[in-house]
Amino acid sequence: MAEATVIGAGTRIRGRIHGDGDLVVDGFVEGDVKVNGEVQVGASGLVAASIEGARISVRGAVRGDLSATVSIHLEEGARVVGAIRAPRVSVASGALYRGVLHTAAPGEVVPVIAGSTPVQAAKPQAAPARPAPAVAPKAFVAPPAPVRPAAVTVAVAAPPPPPASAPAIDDVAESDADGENDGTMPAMRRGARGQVAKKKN
Amino acid sequence: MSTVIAPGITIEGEITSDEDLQIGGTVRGKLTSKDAVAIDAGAVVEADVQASSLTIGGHLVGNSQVAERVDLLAGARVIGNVKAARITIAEGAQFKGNVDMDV
Amino acid sequence: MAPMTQAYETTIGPRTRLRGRLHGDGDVSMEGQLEGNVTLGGKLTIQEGGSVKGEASASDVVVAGELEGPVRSDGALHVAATGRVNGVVRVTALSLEDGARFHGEVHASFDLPAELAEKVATAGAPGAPAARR
Repeated sequence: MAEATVIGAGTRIRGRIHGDGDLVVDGFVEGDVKVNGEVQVGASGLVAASIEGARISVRGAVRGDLSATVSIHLEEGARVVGAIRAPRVSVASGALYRGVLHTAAPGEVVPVIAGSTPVQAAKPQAAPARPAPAVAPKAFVAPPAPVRPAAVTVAVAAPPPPPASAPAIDDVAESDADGENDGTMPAMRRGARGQVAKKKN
Repeated sequence: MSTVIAPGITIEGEITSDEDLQIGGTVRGKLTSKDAVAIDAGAVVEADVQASSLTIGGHLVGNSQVAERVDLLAGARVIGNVKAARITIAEGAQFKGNVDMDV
Repeated sequence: MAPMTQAYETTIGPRTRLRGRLHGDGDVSMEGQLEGNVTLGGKLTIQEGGSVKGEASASDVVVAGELEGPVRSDGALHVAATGRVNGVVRVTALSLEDGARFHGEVHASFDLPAELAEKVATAGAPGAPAARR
């Protein structure tokens, strides 16, 4: 990580980040990340886009698909919504995750997930776990017209936002709890309700 | 240790085993073991049983076919036919069925 | 012969196969094979070498062996390094050790930080048809 690119806690990047080397995200990145080294999303890091790398470790929050050629680690405190795919994946207790997870190399053929029948899958596919995060951020990121030189490239399109502090993260929960805008996919919300309903019984 | 089905647990279906089986819970269906089977006091087995030996302290409804011996302990309640080389029925055991001792 | 009062735990030994339904209160340690559904009030532990092919529902689930089928738990699913899971997972907490093999759809209810949640709301406008179906 000697030459790692660091997106500091007070920095907000809107656009794609790609290139060689490692990347540390302690700030806010809206835009796809693709490096061939290691990506670390720190505890204060927020990423609204897909991340590709050799190794990815997350302590912060990510909405988007994670794909690594070697490993992905979700550490305690991580909150991730999106598809995950890497030959080795670990999820620490205390990490929160939803999405489709495959321990497989990118591009590798994966087995059909038991219980996710074609009928069931058809509905989720319209919105839930995997497509939504992938689609939404992309649509959102496209406008900023990223630049793309060599090495790790960063297209900055917005000034640093107020620091993404931990309290701010925690406060969200309430406003979202009942809301429509929490980004939870229909199928998942249904699933969540189902669980609650079951508990009552 | 081998297979133990504790009180409070129910298995409905087929059990096939090459090892000792101790049942304290409920089994419905079919039970086939190449080793010893014990149906403890409090256990309920509604199944045909095949075993090398069978010890019954609980309830068994079903036919049993046992290579060696069957022991009905005091408190046992068995409804079904028993086919075994040897059988003991303790005082206080209840038994309704036929015994076939292959002589 | 264990008296009824003796506390004992359910263990399905390595040389035992079950076909059917296993349910009840208490914990179960699965070292053998089960083809069918498990519904437990207690904890289900699938040991290394053990396997369950069917739906698993328990207060907590630990997989060091193999589980193929949907998993439901108000508690946690822990997949050990030797574990293999394939299924739709609805649990309160999931943990996965490095080395575990997992193919699953994980459902969990939690909120992302506001910054990320809002993004989707905003981005939802253009992309809304897909998101809202």
